[in-house]
Amino acid sequence: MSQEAVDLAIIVRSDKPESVYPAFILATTAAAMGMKVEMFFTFWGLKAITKGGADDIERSFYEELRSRGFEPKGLPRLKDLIAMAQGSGSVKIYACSTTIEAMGISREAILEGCPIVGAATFLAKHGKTGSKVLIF
Amino acid sequence: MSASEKRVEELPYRVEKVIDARGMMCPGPVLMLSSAISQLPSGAVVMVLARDPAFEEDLRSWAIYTGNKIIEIRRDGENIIAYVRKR
Repeated sequence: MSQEAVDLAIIVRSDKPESVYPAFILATTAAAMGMKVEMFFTFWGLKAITKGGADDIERSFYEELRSRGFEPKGLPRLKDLIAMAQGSGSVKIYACSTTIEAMGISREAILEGCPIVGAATFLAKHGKTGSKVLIF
Repeated sequence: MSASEKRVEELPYRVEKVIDARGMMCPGPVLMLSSAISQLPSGAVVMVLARDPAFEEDLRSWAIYTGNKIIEIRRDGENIIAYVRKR
């Protein structure tokens, strides 16, 4: 992990749409406001940064919306939000090493550009810089 | 768009780029604006069209935070029309 100051740390531990969408909406918007963001994906949240994971999450969300009588409208594509976050230059995305081991996920299954790190790496940095932390 | 295009010609400043974010909800309009602004030189003016009812307040917050200047913001029916000058 780099040692430059970070404004916002976002921890995503769930693959539910209500966790993953707001996490990326806030990350991309923070980047648009000039903030530096780091995202850490752990437990079920890791799915969001696996290849094809965003599409699965989006599909299940749309199915749920339709089953409740809503037609999805005006929502950005989840994979576009992730691409925007990655392309912004202001959002860094990290994958939790323990989750990867515990779930038997291969490194190749994780999106490109998402380093695999441990808790100490994440904490050491954010403990010192005093970044705000959001947990989803 | 024709009314908006006509309006652009009447403005006392030159609009470098028009962003049509109607149909996009948060964070779409702010992200489109931010992306466009990042590719323009200082002083350039961007016109944004949006319908997200949260956009006006979002735009004001974004502008204060980033230091970009809102030249004009108005509502035309459900459309929000804003002109932003890059810092």
